[in-house]
Amino acid sequence: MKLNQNGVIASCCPGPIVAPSRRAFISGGLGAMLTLAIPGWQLMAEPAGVGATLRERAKRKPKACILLWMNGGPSHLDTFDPKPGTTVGGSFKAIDTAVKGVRISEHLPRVAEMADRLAIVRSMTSREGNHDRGQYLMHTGYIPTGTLAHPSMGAWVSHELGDARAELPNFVSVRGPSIGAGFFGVEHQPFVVQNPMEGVKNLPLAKDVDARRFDRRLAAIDLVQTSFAEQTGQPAVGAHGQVDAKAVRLMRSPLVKAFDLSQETEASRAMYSNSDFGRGCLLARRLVESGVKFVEVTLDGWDTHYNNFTAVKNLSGDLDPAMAGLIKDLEARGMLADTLVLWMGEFGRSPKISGNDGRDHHPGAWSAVMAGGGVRGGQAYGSTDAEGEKVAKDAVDVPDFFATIATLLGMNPEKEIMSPMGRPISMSDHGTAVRGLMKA
Amino acid sequence: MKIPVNFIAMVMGLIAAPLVAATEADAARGVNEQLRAAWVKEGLTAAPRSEDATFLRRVSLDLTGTLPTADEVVKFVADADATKRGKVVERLLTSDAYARHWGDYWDALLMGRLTREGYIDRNAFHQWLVDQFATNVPWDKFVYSLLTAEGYNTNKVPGNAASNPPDQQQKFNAATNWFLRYRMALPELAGTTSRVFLGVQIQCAQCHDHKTEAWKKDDFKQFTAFFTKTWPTYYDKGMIIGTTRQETKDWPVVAPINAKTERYFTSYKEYVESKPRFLQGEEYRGFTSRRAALAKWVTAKENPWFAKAIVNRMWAKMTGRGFVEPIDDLRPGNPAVMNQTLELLANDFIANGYDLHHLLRTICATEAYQLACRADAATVAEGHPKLWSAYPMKRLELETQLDVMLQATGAREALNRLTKSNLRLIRQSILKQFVTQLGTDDMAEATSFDETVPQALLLLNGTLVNGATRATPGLALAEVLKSTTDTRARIERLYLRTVSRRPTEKELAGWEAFLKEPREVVSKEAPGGEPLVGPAANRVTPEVANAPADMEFKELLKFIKTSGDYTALRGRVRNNADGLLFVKAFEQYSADYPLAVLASMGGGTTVEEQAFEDLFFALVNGSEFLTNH
Repeated sequence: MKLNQNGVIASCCPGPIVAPSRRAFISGGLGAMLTLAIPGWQLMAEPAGVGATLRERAKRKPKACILLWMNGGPSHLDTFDPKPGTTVGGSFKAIDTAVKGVRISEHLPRVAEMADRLAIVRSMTSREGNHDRGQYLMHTGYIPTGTLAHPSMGAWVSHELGDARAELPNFVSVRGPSIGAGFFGVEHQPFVVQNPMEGVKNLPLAKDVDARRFDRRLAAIDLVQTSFAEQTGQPAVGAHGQVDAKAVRLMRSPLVKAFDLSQETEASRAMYSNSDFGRGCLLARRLVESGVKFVEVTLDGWDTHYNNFTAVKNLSGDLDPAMAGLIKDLEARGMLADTLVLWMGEFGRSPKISGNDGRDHHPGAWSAVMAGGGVRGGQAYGSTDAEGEKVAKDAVDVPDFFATIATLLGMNPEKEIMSPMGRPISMSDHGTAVRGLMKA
Repeated sequence: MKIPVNFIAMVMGLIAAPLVAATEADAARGVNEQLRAAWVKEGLTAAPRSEDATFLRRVSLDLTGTLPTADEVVKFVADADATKRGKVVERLLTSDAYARHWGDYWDALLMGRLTREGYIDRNAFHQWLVDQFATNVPWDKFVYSLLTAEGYNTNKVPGNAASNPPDQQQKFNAATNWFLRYRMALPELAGTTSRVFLGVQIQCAQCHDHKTEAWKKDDFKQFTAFFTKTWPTYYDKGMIIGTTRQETKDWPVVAPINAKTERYFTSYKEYVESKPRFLQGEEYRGFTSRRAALAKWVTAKENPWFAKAIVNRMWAKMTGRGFVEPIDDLRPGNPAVMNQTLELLANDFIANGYDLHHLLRTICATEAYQLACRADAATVAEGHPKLWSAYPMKRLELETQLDVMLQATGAREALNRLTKSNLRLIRQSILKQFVTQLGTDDMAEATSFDETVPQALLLLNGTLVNGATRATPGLALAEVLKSTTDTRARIERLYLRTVSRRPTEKELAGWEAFLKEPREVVSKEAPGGEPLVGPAANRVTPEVANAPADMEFKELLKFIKTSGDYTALRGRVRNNADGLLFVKAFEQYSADYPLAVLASMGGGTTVEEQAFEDLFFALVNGSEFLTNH
């Protein structure tokens, strides 16, 4: 065992391997196995002659994930788990969706049309009612301990599915800083694009620098670095060089146009609507198309302690066309099966409507939405009680939710990586993937 | 003849002890004895003493966030005074830069780098912090004032204010802005108070009891209850451009939960209904201000955490690693490395009246701070020298990184002229770019910042670094090239400006070869056009001038190109949300504009000048410049 550059212990074996369950063979049979997007690590453990042929395996590329992050904690009651006509339900009406019996907020009409692609999880439950802690939990799967910086979901995907030699970053965060890579280190840190319209800053060379001069400058930096490394013997000097090299690779990559929304047609921009969030979603699609493995797009403003209904209505106006457009677009491009789309925030909001017409934090029962990437769409999974206060059926806790995401993306949810504190950490924290949310 | 320092030490029989021992405070001597004993026990060989030039750069960066000037380096190295290190510490502690540097540090830590609210006067709060460090207010008094602050958040009067509170100026207390930052977030205020000032992480118990942690939910609720008799009153009604006036006040009663107070106490009913109780102590039943009672308890000599928390933090800041890591987690389950040394320093700090200068003087005199920066496999664990047996390589705070860039290149003066002395605005904007592109918590300590690709792009190809390293009249490089025609002297001056030392013979030879390589002058069209200067800057863009009256302010802002547009749009602010958008956008513009001007300026026009630009550019992109070591 040896330490790699990030201080993560690299081991030769990929951790415990979970064989495809026996039941899958019996109930699904061989045909079902063929259509299943079987993760690479599972294929390795598969008995010869079962499952996809070698050629089909070679064609299968790793999946990608787009997380629509509703910062502040979206009200489940005013989005995907409406209780119209009750004291907790507020002023919004519910509308029918493409799935019989599943109704959502009247302010999400386009998403409603796409409901047959969605798995609406109405039974999310956690215990962190503070923003920082909830955001940390729902990004990393762990509560903050103060002693160990856990990697976020995007960093896990970058670590497990990303290509270390890729010219584009494996993890991009649009319109928000997200939570970082923790002990996975710089390599898996989110690449932040603050404004989707601006794309990546500082790419074109200055007016008095051409490619040859820039090369000369890099050679000059080498002189400086070599000399300093000789004087101090500091390994950190080498790490600095690696990041610089990556930055230069990005500057020179033709793939960098993935960040440039001006390359899109007016029609495709309109599909997502013109809000900043819509543009962020469009950017996410472009990035995934170019090989980025995890894109997080933030829609902020869900901390609706007051004027909840005005705020959620406005936010829904941005969310609805963007989310529906994204799913429709991914599907039209044949990317939806390989792209997991997630919608969630750090918690839900209280059924009780406060004196300021607001709702407070509510981690006990809330909603998340999944689509694409092997998700069993066309359902509302689990439910809350009549007040939306507690989970009534099929509770999904955080470890189970993370295990489901990992499994859908073809990652081994149980795989443990040794943290610098000597504690092994897995993405799922011992959760079990929820079968009902995945295609058989 | 000059006698080498080491020789004197040998003659005096002080081989193991460095010469500073003669003048260092008793506490530093005690720390050194413990360090040496620990190294012997672990079989570690300490690094040699740092070079004088390195020490000067190190201590200037750590204490003031600035580089020593080239002259200072030359003089310091030549100075034969055996007590010169102690003397320079003394000079730095009383400098303006010291106060500003620590003001910046605590501003980022307490407020967050990105926090912008219409009810927070960040400039006033920053100035308040700077004043505390400028007058070296004892730490216990500092914390007491912060925790109990009452009064108005700002002394400024908004341009469109309908009326003004008669007592605004008398009751102005900028420290109240910290309380306002946690408006409607009492649990966070309580958690931050205990974490930052006591190193106690009670916030982990906010939601539920953890089996493995000492603090229970009741501890948290009852600690938070100390803040439930404090809330601010809005003075300004309606639309305000600027900071709204808020008077923070301790009230004799617990906030009644009604529509008015609920803004502050929503979902905090359980805290309002809890009785305040000190951690591991008694309930507070007094009738005087709850916050005052809390502050008195926090800062009391008997408080087991208060002195240790700040000593551990400052030790970590200076030497790169705390006795306890993370530095704000002093729970029993997370024991200190060399606890006896932490206690020695904490007791000494209390005995010296919580004097931060004394603490820093002591730390600077310890071997942990005086040794050379060195890394080899045997002495480094988790990227840090074991038991402080060498000085580490430390990343600079973001603020410091920016400041040294501006200082070394002379861009500080140039930008100051361009912005009519509003450099602080530009700093804020660039810092914001740094912080968001780093993809990290805006209140994170700099030690946790790893370099990222966007940051590398900013340094390798950003407007600031490109522009500031040009041979533009008024910037550093042009001055250096003008001052001498001797190649070696020019290189030496650039080294002294950036890495605060003279180049080695090998480095000089390497650069001479580099400068002689064949090259051509590069000059091409500027990307994105030139910035608007002169009368053009005051023109109003047609889209702004002709925008329909009902257009959303957010949309209007997208058309803005010139400062004239800002003047035109000022009158279209309709509510506080618009006002905040306007202020944010205008600040961004005011900060970006001078950088755009800088980028548009001409640089070197000869092969030689451009070769020196490349050399200078490389120096400020190197690890030696971008770290403290």
